[in-house]
Amino acid sequence: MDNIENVQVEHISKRKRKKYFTAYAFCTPWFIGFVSFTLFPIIFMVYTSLTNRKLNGITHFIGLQNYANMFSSTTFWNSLKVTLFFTGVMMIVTTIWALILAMLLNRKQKLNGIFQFAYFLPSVIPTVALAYAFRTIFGKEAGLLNSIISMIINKNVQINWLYDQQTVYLAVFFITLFTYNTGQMMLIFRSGLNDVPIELYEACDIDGGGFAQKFFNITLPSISPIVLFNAVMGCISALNGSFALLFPLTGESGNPNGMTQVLSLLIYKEAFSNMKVGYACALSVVLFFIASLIGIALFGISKKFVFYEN
Amino acid sequence: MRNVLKKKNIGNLVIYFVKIVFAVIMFSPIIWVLTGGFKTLTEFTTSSNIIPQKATLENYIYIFTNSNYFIYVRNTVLLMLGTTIGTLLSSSLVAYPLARMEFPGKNIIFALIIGTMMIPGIALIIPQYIMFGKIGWLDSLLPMVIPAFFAFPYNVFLFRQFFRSIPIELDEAATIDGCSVGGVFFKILVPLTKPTFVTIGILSCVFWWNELTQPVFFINSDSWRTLTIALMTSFMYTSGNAFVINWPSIMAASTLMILPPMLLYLFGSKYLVEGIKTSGLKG
Amino acid sequence: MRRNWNVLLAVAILSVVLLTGCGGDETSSENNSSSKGIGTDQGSTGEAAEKITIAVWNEPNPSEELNMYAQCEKATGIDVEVTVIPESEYSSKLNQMVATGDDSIDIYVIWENDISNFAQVQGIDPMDDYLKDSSIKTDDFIDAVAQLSEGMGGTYGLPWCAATEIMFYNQDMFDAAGVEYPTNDWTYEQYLQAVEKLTVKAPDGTTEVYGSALPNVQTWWAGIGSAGDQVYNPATGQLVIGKGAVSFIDDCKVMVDNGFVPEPSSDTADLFAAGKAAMTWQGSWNIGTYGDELAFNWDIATIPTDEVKYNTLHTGFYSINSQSQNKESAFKVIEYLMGEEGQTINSKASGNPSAIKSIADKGAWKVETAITIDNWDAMTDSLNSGVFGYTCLPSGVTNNAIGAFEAAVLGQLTSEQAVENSSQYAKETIGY
Repeated sequence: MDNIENVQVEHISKRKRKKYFTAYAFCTPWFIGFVSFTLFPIIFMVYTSLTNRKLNGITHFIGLQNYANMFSSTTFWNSLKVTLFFTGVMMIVTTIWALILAMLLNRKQKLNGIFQFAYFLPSVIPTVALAYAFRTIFGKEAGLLNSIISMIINKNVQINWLYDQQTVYLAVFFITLFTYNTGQMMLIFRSGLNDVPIELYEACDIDGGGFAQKFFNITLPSISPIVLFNAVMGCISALNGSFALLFPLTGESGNPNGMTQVLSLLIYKEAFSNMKVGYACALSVVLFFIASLIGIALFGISKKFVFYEN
Repeated sequence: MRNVLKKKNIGNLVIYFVKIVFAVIMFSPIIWVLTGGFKTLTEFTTSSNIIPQKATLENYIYIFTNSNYFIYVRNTVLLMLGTTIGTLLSSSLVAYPLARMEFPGKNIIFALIIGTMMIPGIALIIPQYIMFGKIGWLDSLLPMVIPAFFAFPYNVFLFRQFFRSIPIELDEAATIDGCSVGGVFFKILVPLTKPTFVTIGILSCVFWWNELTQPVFFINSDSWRTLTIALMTSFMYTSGNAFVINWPSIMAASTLMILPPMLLYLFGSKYLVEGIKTSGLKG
Repeated sequence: MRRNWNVLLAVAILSVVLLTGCGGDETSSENNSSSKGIGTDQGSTGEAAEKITIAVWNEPNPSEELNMYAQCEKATGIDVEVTVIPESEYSSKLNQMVATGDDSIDIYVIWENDISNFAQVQGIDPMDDYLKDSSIKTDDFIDAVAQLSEGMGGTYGLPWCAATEIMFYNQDMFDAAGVEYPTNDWTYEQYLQAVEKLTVKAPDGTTEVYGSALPNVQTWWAGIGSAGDQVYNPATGQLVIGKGAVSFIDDCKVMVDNGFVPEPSSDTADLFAAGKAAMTWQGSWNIGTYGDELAFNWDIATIPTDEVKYNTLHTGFYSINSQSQNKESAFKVIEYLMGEEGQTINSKASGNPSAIKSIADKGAWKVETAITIDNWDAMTDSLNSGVFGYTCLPSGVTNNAIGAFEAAVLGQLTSEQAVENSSQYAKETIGY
């Protein structure tokens, strides 16, 4: 009796082992890629941040000196502040705008297809082209926006949108509404809104609920996992994509006066204009840290507010 | 009753009006770019007419004759195709066990994949740059194409979602018929999810067509330059003066760059929209 | 079935790798003919197998007579392929290539702030051995250039020209406003007064024509240096600015507030060329760009003298990549480009005088198309008072400083703060 059982047990684990092996085999491309293109560069990045490597390759080990310099540099703290501010606001602004557009599109009206085309098309424009287009739209003397406002108010208006401290953030956040990430969010919201069971809305109608009640008590909770997903994507996009948007728009110094100098711009500037690769790696470590913190924070919030249909 | 209907109609009209206003706002940069390509430099920098007074084709002519435009197109297309083929192959392979099988370490691997998505690309680019420099891959398309053959996290995630939507009974039926685990993948899942491949293929193509950050770091010379880099460099300065940016030619080049994704959207919108929507599915 | 898939996979991977990896050779030969614009077949002798690649930031002149690389091919029989790297990333790309031991480019034209770095890491070779038997007049360089090469332990680079910064002015506007033309002895006060008189305002108070354009990222330093700051200390390699910068920034702010000078903005139009500014401070190479294409009469003068007469010299150094496989031929190309013929063609094409005094004296740099210029002495005068200043500092530091200055002009911080911030950032960055 024992022998047969043992043989059966052995047989099962062999099959399982074979199954595991197949699973791992399918995962090997990812594994190789992860180690070579992610893990190894991360380790190298942390190592380089402890040196004073320059762009031409000379390097000496200097321990935590880069970090000490970094924490005593006003440029760094300004950049950190700008990055956090920018990421947070961009995430909120684009998510809300995407939700509004999605809700508008979900009202099945005539010519909806054309509206979706118009809303989504800016997303497929390369970010660089978008940045240049807006740089001229926001131009001071010959900008489109200034002339439209002048026409409306009937006075010659020459607002220096991108160089005036008070208007630069308005301009930049306006531009983020046109990025790929916003368009993507809009489509995801659309499908999420479609999935909300209509019975819930009808029940609310019967109970005499108005628009606000429907929105806050039904719509939002139902799409909360999507809101979370979009928030995470929004953060990633703000940390990553801000480079492609801000570099052509404001240059590497984040004019005016460093107000748009997010960490990604500063990393580029330090590595390629100042040749301080070691320092740039230290900045990258900090950026990496921030991304992880934001990710963890968002998932922590999700445990509290997100309502899964389980 | 009539009052309720009237309210609804007015409500609809208001919403329609808002939709139109938003459409104008969202579409305006595209119009600006389109018409800008036909203006002369002086007209562009001194006035903000929507319709050019002195419409000219000189910018387009400049793009085609003064730069290696077709080489840039070739490079961008190669980049697009290389990365898309690579990612379709590898990401689907990696997504399969994550969607279908249970094995030790599955959750860790999945968490790592999601985590990798969150890493800002710019943070890794410098060490990658040094690494690629040491093996001599710089100034070519290899630093971007080769990693595509080793699975991009975002596409793995997408494939996983799509695979999970295929009923598992089909898998089981095939296994009973004597199909191996690998066979299930190739004979069942892949044929059934062909639309998925198309969707992810289109998404990947559009992404790489528009990508700037990676090519700008890894490519030095003119012979491997992509269109996005060219937008930022070759078409920018026409006179000897490096402080005068030739906006109209950038606008013209941008118009040319917008056309393929726009056409792709018009003809493949079903797939594109489906793909982006499904990527947000729960679970 | 599975076998078919595997085969398909293998074929797909192979074809893509082949396309991306091996496409390089085809393109470089395509690139050969298109980047030079002129036929490769002309003038190559039997040694046509030799090819030299040179990296520059300016497109070669479209006309063949003024294209010194094409002429060099004819004279030496060596193929010269020009790789144009855009100015905005020129320095960093070169640094990257040196760091990775790139051997695709034989001759680097290096900027002032990179040459000692490259020499230190042995990315470029000293040329003293080649120079012994060569015809290049290395003892005839202008003083500033000679000083720059001191202390490097050898000659690592030869200057391809000596460009300076000058003031351009619109004669028609001066006539209309009744102001006398600037001379090379103009003082800074005279400049400030003229700016006010030359400004033309519209009835609603906005400016139609500015008295002067805002200094650009190059000529800001001319203004600061003229006001008395040292700007660059060669001994320490540091940025040195102080009261001079503060006063110049304040003056700019006053002029901007009064509408005489445009605000710093994202607009990049050349207001002078468009006839919307009466004066501008720019690099001397713009003479060649403007030529006879401007719609008005214009002339040049030196940048006005404040405490001192100051402007920044600009050049690039021909140097040989230490990884190059064709060093002998590379030097032959440099020899031609630094010789009388090469320098003369360069001067005619760019309007920049040669750094070799005897060649510059022959005046080939007087651009023929700039027919309205009488005051050619402004160029020689400028060259004499020019120094290698801010160009020896890392570009991140200088860009940062300009950003701070412009912010101060817009009133976002005080000029003292701008100077303080810039100096602080410079200290953090230099000497890393």
